[in-house]
Amino acid sequence: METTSKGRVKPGHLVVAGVFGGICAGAALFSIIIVPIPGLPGGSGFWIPAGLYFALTLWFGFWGALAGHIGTFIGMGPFFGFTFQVWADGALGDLFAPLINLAIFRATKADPELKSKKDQVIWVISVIISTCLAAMWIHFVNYSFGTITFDLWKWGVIAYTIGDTAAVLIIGTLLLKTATKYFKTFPYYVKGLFS
Amino acid sequence: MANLPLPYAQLFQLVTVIYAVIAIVAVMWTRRLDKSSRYYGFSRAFAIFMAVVTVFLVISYIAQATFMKWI
Repeated sequence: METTSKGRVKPGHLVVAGVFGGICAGAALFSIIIVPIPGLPGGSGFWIPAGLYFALTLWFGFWGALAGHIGTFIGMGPFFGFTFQVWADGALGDLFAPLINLAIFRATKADPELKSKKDQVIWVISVIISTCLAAMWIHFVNYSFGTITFDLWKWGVIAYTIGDTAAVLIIGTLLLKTATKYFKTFPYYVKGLFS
Repeated sequence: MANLPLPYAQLFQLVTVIYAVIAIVAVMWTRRLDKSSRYYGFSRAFAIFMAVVTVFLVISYIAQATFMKWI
C-alpha cells in the first residue's frame, strides 16, 4: 500500500489531535478512576487511553501525543474533583510517555506495523521504559506538592507502570497490528515528530 | 465525588453506545468507499480504532459494574 511522504504541518493535524483527543477523553473518563488506589490520586489499574495514545503517537507523532494529553486533561479534570496540580501533572505525563516511546521508535527505525521480531521487541521495551519514566515524573511532582508521601511514591510508580504497560501492550499492540497499514495511507500520517 | 451531568453508570452506558454508533457508521462509510479513494485507508483504520475502543469500554464497564456491585 502506498504511503504518504513527509511534508509540512497542516491544519488537519490539529483536527486529528482534537478528534482523537475527544475520543481519548471518553475512554479516560471511564478508565476506572472510580476505583482508585487508596492514597494515590488518579492511580488506576488499567488505563485504556494509554493504549490509544501510544498507538496514535506512532501514527500522528506529536499530534497523537497531544490527543492523549487533551483526553487525560478532560477525563481526569473537571469531573472528578482532583486539584489542578494532580490532573495537569497526569496529563503532562501522558504527553511525555508516548513521545519518549516515539523517540525510541525513530532512533531505532522501528516500524509501527510490528511485523518483524525486532520491531516487536523494541515496542515492548520502549513501552516499559516510557511508562516507567512517566510514572516517576508524575509521582515525583505529586510528592513535591505534598499530595503523596515518599513511601507511596514507589507504589505509585509500580502501579502506574504496570497499569499503563498492560493497557498499552494489549490495546496498543492490537491497534498497531490491525490499523497501521491503513493509517499509513492517510495524508496526515506523520513520519517525523510534527509532519 | 464525581461532578458528572448523569450518574456515572448511566453516563458510561450512554458514552459506550455513542462510541458503538460511531464505530458502526465508520464501518458503513468504509463499505461505501471505493478502495482507490484517498479516504479508504483512514475510514477503515478509524473503524478498527473505534471498534477496539468500544470493546474495551464494554469490558471496563463489566469489570467496574462487578466490582462496584451495579450488577
